[in-house]
Amino acid sequence: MRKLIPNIVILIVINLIAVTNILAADLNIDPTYLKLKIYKFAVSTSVFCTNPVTIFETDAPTYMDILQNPTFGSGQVADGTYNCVIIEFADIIKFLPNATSDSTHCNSSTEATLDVCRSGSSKMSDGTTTTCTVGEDRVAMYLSTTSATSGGGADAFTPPTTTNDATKGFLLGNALVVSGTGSGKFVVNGTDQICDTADGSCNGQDSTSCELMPPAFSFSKL
Amino acid sequence: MNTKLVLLFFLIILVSFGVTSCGDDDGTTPASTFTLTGADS
Repeated sequence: MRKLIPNIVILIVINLIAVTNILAADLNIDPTYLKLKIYKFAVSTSVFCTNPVTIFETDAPTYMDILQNPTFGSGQVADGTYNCVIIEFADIIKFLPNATSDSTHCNSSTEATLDVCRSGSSKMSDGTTTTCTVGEDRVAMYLSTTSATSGGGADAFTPPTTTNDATKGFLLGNALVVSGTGSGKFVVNGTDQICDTADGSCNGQDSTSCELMPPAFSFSKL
Repeated sequence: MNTKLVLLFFLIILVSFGVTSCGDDDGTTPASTFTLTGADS
């Protein structure tokens, strides 16, 4: 009897750990791939992203997997210090979960999508405005040295309008200094960001879908 | 005589301007190729 009680306690603990793991398996799923479609890359010397210079642009880009370190494009740019980087891309991000969630709404063989701009609008680098819809839209993301935050409630699709703007644009950690041929990387980190909406802590439109929580976006020179 | 002098004066100015223009920098900043890649970290 004295040995039986500790054994029961151990079994209960093991079961609790197993149950916890099962519940957690609807969260923190990694992507097998994370695909983006880039239309345009432009830079501006102004922290407010005015008078941008286009480095490359294509009207018919294809989806590329960010996990495969793709080359989106290249072009000519004058040497200088650029305080703003503008990337125009399709607001539908395609992803494949690397595991099937316990509630099975995320399937390791079924591609899912995230629409990062469903409402509101985006100011394009040419000054025009695009309305975001539920569906694919071409939007412009602004990363500026005077934007104060990355993520959170900031509107990344509008350039900053004030110094240390906490509501518009994402923070560009360091100005892009171009001196001769070089390259930079657009980072989209989707690690642990996929979840099954059956779990209440997973944001979603319903409780029966597979979602990609908004990934962290950043840019840095290589 | 005066007409010839005036023409010579303008010729000298034109030649000087042309030589100066050829020798000047074109004013543009050197351009280099910049490549955008993607990454997850």
